[in-house]
Amino acid sequence: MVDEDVIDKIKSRGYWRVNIRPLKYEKNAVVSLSDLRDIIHNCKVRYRGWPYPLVKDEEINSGENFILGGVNWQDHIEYWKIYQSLQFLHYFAMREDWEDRVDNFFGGKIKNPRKPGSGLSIIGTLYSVTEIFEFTLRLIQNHPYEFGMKINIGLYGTMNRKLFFYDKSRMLDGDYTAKIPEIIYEKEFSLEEFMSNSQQFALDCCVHIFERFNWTNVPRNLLESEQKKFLGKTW
Amino acid sequence: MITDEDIKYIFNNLEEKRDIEFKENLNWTTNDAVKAKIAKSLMAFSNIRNGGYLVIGVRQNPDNSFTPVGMTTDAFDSHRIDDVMPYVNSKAEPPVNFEMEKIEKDGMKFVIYKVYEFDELPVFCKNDDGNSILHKGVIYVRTMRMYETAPIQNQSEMREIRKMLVDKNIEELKRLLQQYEERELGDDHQFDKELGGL
Repeated sequence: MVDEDVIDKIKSRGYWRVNIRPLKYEKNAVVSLSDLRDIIHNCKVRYRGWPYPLVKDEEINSGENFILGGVNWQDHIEYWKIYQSLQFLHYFAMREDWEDRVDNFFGGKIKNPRKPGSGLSIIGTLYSVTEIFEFTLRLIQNHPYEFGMKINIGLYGTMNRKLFFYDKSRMLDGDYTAKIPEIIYEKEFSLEEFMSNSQQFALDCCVHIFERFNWTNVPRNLLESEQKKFLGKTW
Repeated sequence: MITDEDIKYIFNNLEEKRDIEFKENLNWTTNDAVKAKIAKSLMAFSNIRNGGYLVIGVRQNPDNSFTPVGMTTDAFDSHRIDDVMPYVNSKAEPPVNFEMEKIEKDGMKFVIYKVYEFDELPVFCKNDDGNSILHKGVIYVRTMRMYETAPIQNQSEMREIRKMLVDKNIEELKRLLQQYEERELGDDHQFDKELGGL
């Protein structure tokens, strides 16, 4: 079972914090905890080998007015919580910082794991942000967010972290390094605008993040094309 | 509402307490003195913590024990909330918060007045009754030593009322703070509070 201790582990290296909340607070917007379980199951998105958020039935715990879950396996270290108010909170480790925990194909550890705190995958970030926005879209489509919602995405432990591509054939024309310890993106959306433009907003968020790594003129068209491939599962 | 718990509490030991006063067969319409006595008791209960009960239909014996004897039908019928409430509140400022219930128990009739502790300010008598039972400007209480209804007589009783006022002010302050949090600080504050620092 995952509990709040896993947050300490997540925070021990670079991590993401995602908070999605309706604009109006209603303590019991969702009547029961079993409804919350249904919501998290129905809204999770899966465009790669694991869903966002990582939901495992046996790892879900009920609280007074929330359910929580997560995982602590190899480079997947996550903790999420969704409340009856429909507030969603998610901490997850930057997977780039936990390569030393990843098993290779033969059951051993991978050689030359990346040094924790050194890098942030551009495509990985695009995928994560896209997943967050797609999850939000599902959350608001069928549930009482009629007044709109606020998304807050934070990346922590970014000081001196460098953007990179895992794909060695892709080169960056320079070193894009963050000189701030955290990067926060926060925006309020009306229901209508988010439903019609969520993918573009996800790209805006990526640009916001990458610019704080001193990457000016982020090639939005490249991100958009990668995002399309990701959403079409053609990656 | 007078509950089974209230009735059990009143009749279980059948003794007068600070919050229970027994009267024998009082007929509301007999004379103004009866009305004034009842009004005085109700005012007194409203000025003690958690209020109390005035129960009619219980006789006090010479040895100071009590026996439930019930009321005559005339006396029982004479207690009508539409008559009692206007009279009591013509003598009380602010109004006394009370309710009346007529019950039949073991074949006997009883009238029970359940009085609630004052809401905001202690209740004082705003008019004399003309029979020297009620006196203008007096705050009546159930006394601590004798369990009788009388004007405030000492600093302990005054302190008790002061403490009740302080407690009520604290409750009011908490309520206002909560309102402030909910309205002024807005929804974000509620969501943040829910996260408990996470």
